[in-house]
Amino acid sequence: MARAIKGSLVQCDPSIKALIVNIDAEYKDIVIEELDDTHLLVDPAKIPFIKRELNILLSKNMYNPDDEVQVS
Amino acid sequence: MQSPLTQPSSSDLFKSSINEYLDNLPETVHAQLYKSPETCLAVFRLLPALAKFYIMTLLFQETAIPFLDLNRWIRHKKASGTTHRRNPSKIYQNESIKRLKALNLLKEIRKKLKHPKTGKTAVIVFVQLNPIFRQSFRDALTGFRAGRQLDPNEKITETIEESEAKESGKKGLKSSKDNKSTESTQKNLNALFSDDNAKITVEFLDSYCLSKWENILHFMVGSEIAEYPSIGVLTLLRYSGLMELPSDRQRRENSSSGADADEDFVVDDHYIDGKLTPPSGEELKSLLITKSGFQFLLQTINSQIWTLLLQYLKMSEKLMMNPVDVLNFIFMLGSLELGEGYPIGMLSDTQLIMLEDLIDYGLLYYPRDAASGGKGKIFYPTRLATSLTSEQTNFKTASAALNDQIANPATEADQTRVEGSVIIETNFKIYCYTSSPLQIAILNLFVHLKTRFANMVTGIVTRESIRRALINGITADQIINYLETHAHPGMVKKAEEKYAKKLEFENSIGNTYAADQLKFEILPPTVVDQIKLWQLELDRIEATNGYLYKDFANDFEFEKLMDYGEEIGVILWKDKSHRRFFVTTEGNTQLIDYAKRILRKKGE
Amino acid sequence: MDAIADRAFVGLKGNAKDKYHILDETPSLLTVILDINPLEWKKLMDSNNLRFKDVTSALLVMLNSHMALNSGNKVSLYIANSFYHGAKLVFPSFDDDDNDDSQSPNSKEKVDDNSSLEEEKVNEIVKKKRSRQRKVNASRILETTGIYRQFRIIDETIVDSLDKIIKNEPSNLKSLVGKGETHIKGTLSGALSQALSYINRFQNSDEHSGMKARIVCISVSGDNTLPYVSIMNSIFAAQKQKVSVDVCKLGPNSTFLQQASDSTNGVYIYIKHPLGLIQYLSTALFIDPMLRPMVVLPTNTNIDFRASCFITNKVVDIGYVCSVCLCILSVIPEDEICPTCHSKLDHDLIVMLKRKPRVLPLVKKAKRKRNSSTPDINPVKKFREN
Repeated sequence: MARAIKGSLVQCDPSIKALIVNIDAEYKDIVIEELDDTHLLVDPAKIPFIKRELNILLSKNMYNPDDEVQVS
Repeated sequence: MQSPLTQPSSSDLFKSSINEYLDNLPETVHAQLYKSPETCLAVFRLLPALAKFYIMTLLFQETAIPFLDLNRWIRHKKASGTTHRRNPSKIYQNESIKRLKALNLLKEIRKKLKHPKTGKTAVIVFVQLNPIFRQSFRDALTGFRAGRQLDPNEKITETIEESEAKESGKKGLKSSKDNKSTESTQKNLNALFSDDNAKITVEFLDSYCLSKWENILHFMVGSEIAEYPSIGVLTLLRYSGLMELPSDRQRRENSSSGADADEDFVVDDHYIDGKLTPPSGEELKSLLITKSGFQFLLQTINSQIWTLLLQYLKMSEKLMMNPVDVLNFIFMLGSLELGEGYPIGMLSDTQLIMLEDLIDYGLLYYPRDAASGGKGKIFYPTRLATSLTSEQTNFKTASAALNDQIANPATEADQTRVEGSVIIETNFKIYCYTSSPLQIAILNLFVHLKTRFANMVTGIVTRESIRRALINGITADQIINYLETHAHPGMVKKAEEKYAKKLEFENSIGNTYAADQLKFEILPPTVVDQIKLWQLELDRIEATNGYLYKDFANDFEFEKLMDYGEEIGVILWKDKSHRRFFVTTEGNTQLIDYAKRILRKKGE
Repeated sequence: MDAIADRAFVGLKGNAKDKYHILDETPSLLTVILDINPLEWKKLMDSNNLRFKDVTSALLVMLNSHMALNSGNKVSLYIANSFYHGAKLVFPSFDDDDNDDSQSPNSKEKVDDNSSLEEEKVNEIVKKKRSRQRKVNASRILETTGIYRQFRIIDETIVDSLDKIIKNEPSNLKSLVGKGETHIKGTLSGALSQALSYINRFQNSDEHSGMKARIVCISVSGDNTLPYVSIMNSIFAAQKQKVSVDVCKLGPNSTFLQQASDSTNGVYIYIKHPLGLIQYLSTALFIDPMLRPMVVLPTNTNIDFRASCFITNKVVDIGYVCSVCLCILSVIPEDEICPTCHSKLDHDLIVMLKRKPRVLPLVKKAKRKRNSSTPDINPVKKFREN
């Protein structure tokens, strides 16, 4: 018989998925199952944490036009 | 932060929240509620269109009809061999019936019937309208009420009749109001009867309620105001989490490590329960706006009022007020006539308490003239109250009435609520015809404003301005919705033309699928997409709670369940090769029911 | 260009919600045309024991229900086939332009009544008194107390005006007979075109732009009272305006109205049990324009597509068609001139057409054509213009 697992479906870009998997490798117990390139099953309670971590990771390598202006 | 797409759009917000509230009431409360025809009418109006249709078909049926007959009304799309298996009509029907059942409007009766030919007995599901609702709603439509016990509401309507009889001078006014397009006549008559009507005209009520309501909103955005809203309003604002005291904010920031916007609606009940002394009026004046407060500002006036009223309902329950009384009163307001006075004598005690609060919100006008000695006996519902159970379209008529006043600079403050004044171009430039500091303040939440003229402001939507709004907790959907509801009539008209043209084209080439997919776009799609993209930039993942189904024993089981799930539209993701799919939390119970049914069938 | 501007986002929850959200919100206008031909009503009453009063009350409930659907909803009511008024707007009543609305082809002596209307306009006090009287009058008829205000305004206005109109009918009939006019031309098409103009104006006003509309015809008269050309023209206008025409048919079946509902995506219901009229009105004839795409319309599929002769007004199976204006004739006019477009018809051809059929195969020579534009209809002979 089929099984049903409670969780939260996360839909994102492949790149973001890679980042989440990365986070999971660091902190454990976040990703329950990797579904495909753009979908993951994660622990619902960890969603805010993932988002925060992602924002930190992304802002590290985000291009900020304001910096440019100040330089020139 | 909430996931962007799981959040209902703001105009949906009030509907879904009042619906949710009604759904969750126990059946006994429903039964009591449905005794009032006004409430029935209001509940009816909140239903989806198909549910309304079903009610109408059942309303004059004396006997129960087979459930399958309801299905028969729905057009089934021909299976055109495409992968597009979901039938939107079916989903919509499911939703409609679910709502009807949740509200206890539709009753299922299971009957065992013998097939006339084969002689087999089979259980057939019959449906019937809730008898109390049916009676009241019939009464509402036919105006027939003989042989029923008097309830407070009925008394009100009766006394309305009496008071009408007395104020015969107003009759002429009433009869000419048969039609809104005879506004000019109405005005003449208004002028004619102004002497015995004192100053309570529709125009007066409009400007009264708008100034009252705007005062609250002004207070929220923190602009300078002459008069602070009453303590009742301030308490409610705080209770509903739209605003908070500086001390609240500190406490919240200390207790949590931030990033929990979801909990903004957390309410502390201490003040209600009387455990702590409520903050004084002076203290309350220092309230600060919260993230949900920003979201609140972007909603239409109607949903704003509903948001507050719902909070009021929740608060009133804590104060041990009878929810039936409260709801009946709110719904009754929707069926009152604008510009008419109603005697307060027939309100119940609970409703008298409410009256005071509703006056504070600007829903009612209650002249306290010193001449008659203390309080008057007549209250006047304002447009905010009479359009409670209506759609926003009615507010267009409100603005139409106000348009006349635009020419008159003396009443400049009144034109601020003119909905439909924002033009946005594909190059992200925004023009807004307004002189209201409130609307400018709201626009300033997500627009980079450039210039201000006497009657308009211009600005530009930039990545930074949107990001600022998003960080404030406003979602892209809310911004888009605000722009849509406030779009200039010209933009709406153009969008309609474009939609009609496209639809005709798709239909003419027989592309029904594409015709179904067509959207009604008031705003330039580029702008809408860009705003959403900016939001996604902040929020790179989209999460939905639910259940992952896997480890199916065979293809048959998998296909069967998946087909059903697709049909009712609850499957978000599927993987055929591994026999897995993901179902939303709401859809899960339905799917389990279905699975059980299959198993039972198999067992037989 | 459009492809570039198309949405990049397709919501996870599907578009259905968006679409139905609009569906739930859009208000609509319901226009009812009530056929009040007194002679037909008399027949109905005798055969079915169906009283006008019953139909009116069912109609009022229907209008109320429509108003109940959505607070932005609007209703309007026209009457048709009355002796005096022809077609007239009953609700909403525009007190000020009453004179314009009561234009009727049959009445030449309407001045009398107008003078009282003038009076009403001039003297507001009289009006006040009158409206009070009216209220009392109406409430006596309805005998209601606690009814939702909006509904009551509609009900009272309608009951009152219908009452006034019906009461005048006998004397109107007499004056018509006195003048020697015995055949009453139906004014359903007049009401239909008035209703369409009303809808058009409504939809183009700023206040109600984008409002959907539909028409419900409650018809009792047979086809012989319907002027074919104008009915057809109104149907095409309705089609163009995307206004559905639903027909609730009491009395004899009508081919033209069947065609009307068929070509406008409407519902044609022949009422077999008039006492259960309210059920028909609240179910089959209560499908909102926004619901139509997804609901199965309860209408029959075999529709009689025959047309009627322009001269005799009778439905024809095989007839002649003028090649200039396509008017349909069952007989060839004496003067050999088309009655509609006044083109001269070819004399030789007419002679040929009038010839008795011969048994010899010579007939092949005759220029008989089949009209290819209406393939599923019976063959139609065509004239050739001179």
